[in-house]
Amino acid sequence: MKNLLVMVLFEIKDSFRAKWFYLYFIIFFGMMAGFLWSGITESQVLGFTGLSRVLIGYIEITIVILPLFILISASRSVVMERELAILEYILSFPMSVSQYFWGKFIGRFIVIVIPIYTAFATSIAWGLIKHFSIPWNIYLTYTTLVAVLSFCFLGLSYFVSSLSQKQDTAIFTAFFIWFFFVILLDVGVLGLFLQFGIGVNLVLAFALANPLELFRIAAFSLFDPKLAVIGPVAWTLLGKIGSSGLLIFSYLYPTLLGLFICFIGFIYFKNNDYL
Amino acid sequence: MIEIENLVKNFGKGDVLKEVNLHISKGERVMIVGGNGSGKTTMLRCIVGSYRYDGDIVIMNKDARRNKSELAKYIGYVPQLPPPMSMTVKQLIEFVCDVTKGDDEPIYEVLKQLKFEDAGIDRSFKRLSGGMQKKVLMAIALGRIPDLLILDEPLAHIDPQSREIISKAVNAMPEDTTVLYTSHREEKGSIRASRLIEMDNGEIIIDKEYYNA
Repeated sequence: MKNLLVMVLFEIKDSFRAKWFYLYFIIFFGMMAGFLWSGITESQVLGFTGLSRVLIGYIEITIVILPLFILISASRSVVMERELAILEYILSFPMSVSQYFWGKFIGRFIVIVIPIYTAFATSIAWGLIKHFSIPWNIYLTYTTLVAVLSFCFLGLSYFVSSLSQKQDTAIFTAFFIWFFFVILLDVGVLGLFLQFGIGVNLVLAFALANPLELFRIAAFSLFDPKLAVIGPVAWTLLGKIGSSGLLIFSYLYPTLLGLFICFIGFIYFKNNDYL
Repeated sequence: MIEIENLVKNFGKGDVLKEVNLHISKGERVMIVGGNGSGKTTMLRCIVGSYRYDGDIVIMNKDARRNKSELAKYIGYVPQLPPPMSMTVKQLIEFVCDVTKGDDEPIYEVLKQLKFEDAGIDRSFKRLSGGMQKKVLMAIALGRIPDLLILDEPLAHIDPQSREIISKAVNAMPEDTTVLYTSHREEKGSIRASRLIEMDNGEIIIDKEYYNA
């Protein structure tokens, strides 16, 4: 158990030394700082103003770039250490394979959420200073959704990393996974529906199976379930299973998907050569 | 100490190790020689558990595969090529001591013996020269005072002065330490060996008593 914690800290410290972390931090923290500094809180779009307006903008960008960042950076994680024989060296000490793998996973998860949560905390502090009303409920739900989305894509990344023999293959596969989920977002799903005359239930199943789409619908439904920008598939889904049902599903499904896929990766990793 | 029975390793293009059998007693100092691709490194990697294999490896009466992390407490390992870790030397030693629940003092003592410059302690491990990296890994392995020391080409790419220092440090290990190390060719007057094993094409072709001190 102690070595699991050692590995968590090792991964966190190692990430803090990496250039990708600073780029990641600058983008996610900088994006929030940019929104606040540019006076977007004062503008009004579709009735939203203040911090709600900021969060909508932040969500729109997060949906696209957060999974990409996680996939590209984390999918290299295990395969790189295997390629460079760092893994061989670490495992030559009394560190079990599961302590190594899950320690890295937990450490990377913490590293991924740090910039986003720092950005949230900053926006709340800004809101308090400017005497905006703080949408605490939205913040709390959105914080959980970000954690769930990160967990899911981290699980996918570790699966890719465990199965790949080379870093290039891992990155390519990771990018393909991201692209696949992005094109299946609401507009893509609707296009598919129109193009091939696919049944509504199948289209809805596609939407529910896509963790990105779930995040998008759940996040936007926090603001207003009838919101026009939410998209037709999302709107139908909300009508069928309701806002609370969707929110619960949005927490559970991506978490279990990420854990399951990651576990398969771990089993493969454990039963193969470590370099 | 080590019992290897019918060890086979295959990477998909024929066997790299072909039914290797080997018994090494406690306190033996074994030099394994052979050319490139003879199977030396692959055998060591099977022993430390980096590779899956067919056959049996028993270390200290325990199955090496099933008890990998338990056995690692007693094994000091130095790979042929130091892994390019970005942490500083100090952080690496800290990490090792955390994992092994050991003391860092003996490691720093060996570092001093190996004439490792103090200024290098706070430098990133991967930015050090190959020789300096090897000294750090040697210090970590020796400082833990393991029962079994496994060194993969410990003197390769090392200047003559450092070779002597490293050899001296290994030779100063307690008598009951089992040492297993590889080399491209027989090395006289370097790391002491009491047995010589020569490998070729995945097989042991010579196994004899030896004296090189």
